[in-house]
Amino acid sequence: MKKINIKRYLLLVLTGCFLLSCSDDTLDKINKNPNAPTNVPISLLLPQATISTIVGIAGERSGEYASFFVEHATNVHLNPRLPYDINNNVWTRVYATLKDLRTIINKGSVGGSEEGQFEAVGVAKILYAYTLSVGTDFFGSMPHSQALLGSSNRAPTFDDQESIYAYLQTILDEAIADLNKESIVAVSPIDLIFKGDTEMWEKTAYALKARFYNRLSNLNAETSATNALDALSNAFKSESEGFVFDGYLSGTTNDNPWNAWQKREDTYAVSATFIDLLKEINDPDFEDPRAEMWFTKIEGEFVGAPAGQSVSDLTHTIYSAPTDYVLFDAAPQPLITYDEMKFIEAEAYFRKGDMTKANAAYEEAVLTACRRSGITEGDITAYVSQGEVFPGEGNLSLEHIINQKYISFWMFQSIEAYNDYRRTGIPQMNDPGGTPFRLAYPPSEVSRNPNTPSNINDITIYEIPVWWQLQ
Amino acid sequence: MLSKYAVFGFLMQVLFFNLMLAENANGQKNVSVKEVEIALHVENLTISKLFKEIERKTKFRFSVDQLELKSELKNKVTFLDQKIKVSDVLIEVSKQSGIMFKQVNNNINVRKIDHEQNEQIEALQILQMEVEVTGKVTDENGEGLPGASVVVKGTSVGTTTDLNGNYKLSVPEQSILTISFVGYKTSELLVDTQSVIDVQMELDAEELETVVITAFGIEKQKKSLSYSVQEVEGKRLSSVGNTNLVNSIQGKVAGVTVKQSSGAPGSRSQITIRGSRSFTGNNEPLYVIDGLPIASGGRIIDINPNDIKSVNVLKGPTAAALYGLRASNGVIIIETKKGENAMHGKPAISFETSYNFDRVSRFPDTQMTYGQGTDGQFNAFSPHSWGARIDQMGTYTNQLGEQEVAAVYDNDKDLFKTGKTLNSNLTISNTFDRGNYAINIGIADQSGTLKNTGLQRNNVKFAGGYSLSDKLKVNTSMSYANNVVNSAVVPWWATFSVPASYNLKGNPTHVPGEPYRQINYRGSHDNFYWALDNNSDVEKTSRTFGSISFDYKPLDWITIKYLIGLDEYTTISDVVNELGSSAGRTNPPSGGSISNSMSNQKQINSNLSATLSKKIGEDINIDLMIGNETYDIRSNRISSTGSDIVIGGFHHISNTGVQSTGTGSTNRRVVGFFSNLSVSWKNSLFLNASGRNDIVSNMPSQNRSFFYPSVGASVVFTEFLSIPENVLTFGKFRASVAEVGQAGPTHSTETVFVSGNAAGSFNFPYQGLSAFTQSNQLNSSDLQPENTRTYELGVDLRFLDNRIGLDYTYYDTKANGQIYSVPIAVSTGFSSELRNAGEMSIQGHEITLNIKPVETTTLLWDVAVNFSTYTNKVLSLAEGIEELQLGQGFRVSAVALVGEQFPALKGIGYARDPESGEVVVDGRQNLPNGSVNPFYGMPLRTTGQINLGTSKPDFEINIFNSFSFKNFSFSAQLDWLQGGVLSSGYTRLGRLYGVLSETENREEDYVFPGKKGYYSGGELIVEGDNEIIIKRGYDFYGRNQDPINESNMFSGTYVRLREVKLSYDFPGKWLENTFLGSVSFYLVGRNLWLNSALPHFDPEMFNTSSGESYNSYPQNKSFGGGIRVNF
Repeated sequence: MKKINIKRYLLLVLTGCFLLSCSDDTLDKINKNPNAPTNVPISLLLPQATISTIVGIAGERSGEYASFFVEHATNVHLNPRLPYDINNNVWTRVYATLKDLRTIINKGSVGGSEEGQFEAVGVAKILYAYTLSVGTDFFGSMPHSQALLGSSNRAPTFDDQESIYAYLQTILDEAIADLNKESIVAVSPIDLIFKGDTEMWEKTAYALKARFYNRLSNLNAETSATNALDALSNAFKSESEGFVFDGYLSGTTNDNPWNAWQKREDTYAVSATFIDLLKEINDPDFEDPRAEMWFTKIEGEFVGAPAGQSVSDLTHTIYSAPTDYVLFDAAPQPLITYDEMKFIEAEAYFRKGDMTKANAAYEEAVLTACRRSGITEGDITAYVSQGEVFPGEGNLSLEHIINQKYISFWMFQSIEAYNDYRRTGIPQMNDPGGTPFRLAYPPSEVSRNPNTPSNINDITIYEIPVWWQLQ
Repeated sequence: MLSKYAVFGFLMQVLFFNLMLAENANGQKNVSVKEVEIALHVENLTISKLFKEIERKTKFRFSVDQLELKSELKNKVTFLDQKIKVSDVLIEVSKQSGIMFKQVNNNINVRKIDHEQNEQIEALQILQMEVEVTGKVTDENGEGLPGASVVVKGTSVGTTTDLNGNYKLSVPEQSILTISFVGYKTSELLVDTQSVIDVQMELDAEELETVVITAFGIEKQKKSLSYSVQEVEGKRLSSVGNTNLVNSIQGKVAGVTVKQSSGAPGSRSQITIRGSRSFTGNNEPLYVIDGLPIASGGRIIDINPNDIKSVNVLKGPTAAALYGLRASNGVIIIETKKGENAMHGKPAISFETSYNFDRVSRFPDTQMTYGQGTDGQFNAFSPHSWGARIDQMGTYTNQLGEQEVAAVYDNDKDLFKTGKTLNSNLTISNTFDRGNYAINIGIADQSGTLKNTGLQRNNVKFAGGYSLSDKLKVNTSMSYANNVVNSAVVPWWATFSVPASYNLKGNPTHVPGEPYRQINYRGSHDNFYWALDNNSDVEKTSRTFGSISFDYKPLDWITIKYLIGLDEYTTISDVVNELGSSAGRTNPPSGGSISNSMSNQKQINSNLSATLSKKIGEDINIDLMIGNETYDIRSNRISSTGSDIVIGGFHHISNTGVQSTGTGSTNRRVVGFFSNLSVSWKNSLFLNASGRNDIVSNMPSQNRSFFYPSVGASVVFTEFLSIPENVLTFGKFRASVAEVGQAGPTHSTETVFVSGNAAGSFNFPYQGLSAFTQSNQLNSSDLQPENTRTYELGVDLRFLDNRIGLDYTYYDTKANGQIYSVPIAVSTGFSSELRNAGEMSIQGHEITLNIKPVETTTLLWDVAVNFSTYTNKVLSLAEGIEELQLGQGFRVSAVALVGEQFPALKGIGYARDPESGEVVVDGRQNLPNGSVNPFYGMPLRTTGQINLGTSKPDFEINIFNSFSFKNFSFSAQLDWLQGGVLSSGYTRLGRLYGVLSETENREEDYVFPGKKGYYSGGELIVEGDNEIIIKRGYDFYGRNQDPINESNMFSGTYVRLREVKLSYDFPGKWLENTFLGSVSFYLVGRNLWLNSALPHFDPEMFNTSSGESYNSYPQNKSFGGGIRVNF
């Protein structure tokens, strides 16, 4: 009898162990991903989204592509104008960044799992506006109101650029409101740009508003100028203010990725268009003092690479390249500067016909840009004393403003120079193959989203302008 | 971990144990003095009289040396017992008189104990006398029957008949001999005292069937199976000098495709059975060793081919259904060598050693006329060979600034040496009363054809079985493997593309005194010799796997089995790219990297089953099995990588400038319940049904449990027809249908956030902050299990008294609702979504043919032919998705295309005239802008990527011939693979660089065959036949042809002499007076001859998922020999 009992007991234990081994709880535990979390707090998402915006959206590859388009630079690798996979690269980065930013906004807003983190929400909305603007400026219409919904909408429709531009102003207004709300947690520990100075973030929001209003100059010259000037009154007030990331470090882990990319691929040579423009503005025997600081010399000369010509020069023995003074491990990445504010102001007053205010803003913009480049006050004085640089109130033209703005954007803000070029047609581009007006939608979107406009392709990007462009 | 000494000690113990057992193993069938009792009532009787008394009362007879025992025999003894054992009497006598007894059969030898010589001697020894029986086993016609088994009933003592049907065996008197042979009725004969027993065997159609191992080790009559199973004997897999088991299987089983990646030691090969069912997932079969499923994939290289008794391939899901979702790609069941077939009681020791030489199977044909440079001019830094004629270069300034006299160098062949493989195996096996064991020790030592490459593997295995009682048996199998693989880290093209004018071997590899400043003829690549000396890739694996199983038979119709086993391995990988490697070759040297990683996998299996077998009436047999299988697989990986080496020659991660680490682990558990019902009627009609329900951790909880069934039937129709056996001996139809479920990848039911290094090269943590970003793969908690359904039909025919056997199988598989990463529009926030979508179908035919053209007593000729062909079509992917990228090659991509064969290769093709299909060359002398057209007369290309064909072959045929004549045997295997395309990245580079022989004709006039024309507004205009004369220089090969991927696409067709083996068995009479049991000697060759549609390179080195390979090492041909000795 005893023996049988033991057997029964054993059977019971075995059955018990066995049932435990396949209970849902046990299997759920086994299936829990040990390598990656399924939910992370805002404090881990915002640093990533910030760096993504700075590196992936404003700098590195997208910045480099824009500099080829706007002939700040010439690609001296394989394809001179449309580097491999560029549209896919920008498209992917824009949506990946927007997705993380939207997660932060949802988490920190009312009803979210970290409700009340309004400072972080405000910052995220500003970065969102910046990222979305780069996306729409490159691609025109794009999925937005139905985007980022995962499998709930596998074929989002494309929103036109007009509605996206309206949304940019809306989200920036929301950001300003959020920044003024009582936040349960300060953004300072995770704010990589202003270290929690929400006033600066607010000014950044207004600076972006001004930029986006001014972008619509071709649609309504007057309103765009009024709105831009209105926003500027709340934006950056001095040279010491600006939306600039200067947290890159020397070494190879936190260095400026654009610098790392250039070191690795060496595709960037200074464009002949840019070098020629500097020469053109100056008197024949005068050289822009910035050139010495910016460009390497080839046998004692600045040699620009002609746009659209496939000459491989990965060793930089034929054409000038950026100097180590400009492009180095810790080179800061400007996103919006005070000089841009002044250029916008000059342009807005110029459109309104207020030439005095236009000229004052223009001269302040040029001086600020020169100072930012690091040249001496003496050099600046000599430079601005030339007639083509400071033409005076009576002779000031849009060309003067945009040309100087174009120069000030070298080398890290080519995207905005490209936007200005498409908006104003200034300066003259020289690529015999033409300058693309936009990027084609990447093949991945074309093949996977049936709503992708079919009229945009590698050929029509040279013909079909974006909505706000000079027609 | 097992140390060398522990293994050695363990072996010593087992050997000792074995010798002790050898003694009593024979003592079983005696009439022993211990068993015989007599009544003895004697007083003061002399010993000699006592002996007479015992002789009178029993059958025992004493043999006494009267002289030696003269005094002892006179001693007197007294026994007053009613009943006493004879042995007790003898022991008492021994004590009193100092004499000893030795019983041999019914004789008892009496001797004096020599105390000086041996204190420990036993007073009474009982030995058994055996009689030697000889005889001849003949068939129904009186012809000798070779290979018949002659066994002493109830033991495993036995032998087989020789070529003439003769046998010789020592057996105990009164034992029964069981004589059996496939296809004949088994005879049983009593051995009385006769020494010659001849037997004539009777044919038996019932016994015609062989027994095969099916799922969970269940042995079934082959004729009862409703699906296809093919077996390969272990001896056909070993002794061909290949250290990789998978390569040895190649060509031996119809429907099994082996794709080798190269001949480098330790290189992985891919094995698929009946095509691919999954787009992006695993298409590898399950491996089961001695009943234990083990981790497969590339790690099958840990298995010692010499330890294998047999390999059974369960090809379709019907065969594998019981194994569950792991087996949806088929199962390879491996049985290792066991002791149960060893001669009873005596340890059988067998030793085999072989030595093989490897040479590169094929070098590209290179041109030796033109030297380094471009446009016919010498250039010391050019990677190309489009320079001046070497015989016209004279003295030139080389890249070091030195004056050099032009000469021709064969840089490629100089680099490769003869690889050597030493394989040694020792097997010790034994069977004793209640059990058996086998120990196998294998050592493989291979050096590759490149310096510092090689493989060292040590295997130790123990397998044993023991009957705890008549009802309970326990079996165990334990293996340990230690595997070290050294690989090269520079691709082969870095040598065959070296210009013939450059002295790669003769030039120093580095600047004198600066070992980390390389010298090379080109900028950004490593000097091959420097890299072989300085860079290394070492992978060390320790693996232990083993199981213990219990068979319990409480009643003769119930069997309960339980098996539990573990497979665990740890791989440590160290890769060093020394300071100064490739891009870092600056002054002072920089760069380099060191990466260390350790990965571990542990797999536990537990399997419990009960089988009930019942006979109903005379004709119906029913077998019902139910069971449970639980397995749990855990893996971990830790890696650290350091880049920017600080000091050359010191390979520790602390010696690097930037370090990063990574870890990852996966966990998975599956609990399965299964049942199988077999019913047979008159042993000629069979029905089989099975079902399995799996509960899987890596599925969402609501879809975690799923069921899949199989059902099959077979009928031996010859039982119902009266066809003469010498026409159609046997015929069977079979049909089956089965479903197998499949789960998704582990840890993928929820979308995750990943550590955020997504932004360019900016790395977190940064300023103490970590960062996460949401993964771009969307996971779903609604995943459903995949489903694969297969119909299989087959016929098995044997003609002319089994001289011809034909087995044909047709199968039709559809894999539904596949779980894979479906590409999704990036604007959704994700780039891929793991979900169920898509269908793939496979239809195939398999034929195996066995013929015995000659079968006489001295000469045997066997032919075995395998044929297989299949179509593997993508029926759908996901709505709106027509193409799925599987792997991105440099130019050509492997893709799944809806409606096309899987996998397809996509790339740029030649523009072709839609009417004639001929290639169209560019007929414009000038381009529209007026400049000269550099590609005038050269082919135009397609405007986009096109489908360039599938890499899947059309069919595969393997022909195996074996002859045996007296003591010689000879076998050869020929493999013929037809069709399929491959993209040769190496040919592309060889032409681009101007090194392959076809570029030698660069100065000759040439007209590209085809039409001429041009593109106008994207439309191809064809003008007529091409007659434009061109030169095929760099403009042609490098600029025009290079972007046209089709120019480097080749048919995958090849015919290859896979194996040749000649062996010689030493005649038994030569060994009669030695300690050797048998000796055989053999010579083998592998890959000795090749005829391939691919020029320059071996087609068996481009196995790649991306469709194109740039990292392959050469394939090898090998030859060698070995000797096998049984003691």
